[in-house]
Amino acid sequence: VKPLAILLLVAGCANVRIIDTRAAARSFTRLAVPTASTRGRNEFQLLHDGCASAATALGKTVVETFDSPDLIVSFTYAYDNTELGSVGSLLATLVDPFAGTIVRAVELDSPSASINARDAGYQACRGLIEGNKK
Amino acid sequence: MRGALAVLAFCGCAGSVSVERPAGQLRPKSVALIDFVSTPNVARRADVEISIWAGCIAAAVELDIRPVDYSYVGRTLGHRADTLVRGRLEMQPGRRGSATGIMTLELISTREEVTLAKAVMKLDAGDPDLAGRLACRALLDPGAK
Repeated sequence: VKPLAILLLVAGCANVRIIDTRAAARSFTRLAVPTASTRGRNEFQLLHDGCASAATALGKTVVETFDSPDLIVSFTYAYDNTELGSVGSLLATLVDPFAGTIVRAVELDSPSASINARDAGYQACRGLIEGNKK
Repeated sequence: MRGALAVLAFCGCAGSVSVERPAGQLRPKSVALIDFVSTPNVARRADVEISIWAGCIAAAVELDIRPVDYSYVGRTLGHRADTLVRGRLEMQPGRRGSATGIMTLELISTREEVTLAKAVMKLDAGDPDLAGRLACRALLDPGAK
């Protein structure tokens, strides 16, 4: 119930865009969250927490980057004029660690308001894991 | 014909793109996105950069070119992409989701470390996501018209 409540809270606050690649359909179980690219303040940990909740709720095993993940999440975010603990824009990518290839990308943007970083991480990773539902 | 420049123009609500590239440029198989360069005395607009990245990833996917995570690959595996896109922005302040200024994107060969093509786009309160998509489409697709 908790993840659903979080999702309902943040629904409508941000624009979400999911970009699927041809490799996006392959199934995976072990997800490392997150790695590499960040820009800004310490929202990083909150994004991580939100993403890990989404991954766990969707049946994925969250592992460390060095612990043989199938795929890895990478975040880049903007915090211009947002409160501490919030982000304004976020690009989350799902990366195949062997090929280095982006399997799927999710862009979150909030033109008028900040997005709580934990909720942003949750929303982004839900999009990364589920993709474009048909 | 080497060295000859082909100039293409794209029109869209995000602005027009002009592209310079040598004749005979091949479509890359993979592209690493994106390394933005800081310009002295010009404030960075991280929201604009992020949206341009997303647009550029979408363009690569549309063209069946593999997008590669630059930061991850750069740190851990070395360049696995045959090209990377480097961007330079001279943006004016503005609200999130809107960009005014000049965007320059360069397509660089990671093996020879030479510029393969260059796209310049003037943005006038345009959508940076769309701008990134149009500019990268023009940059990555030698057959673009």
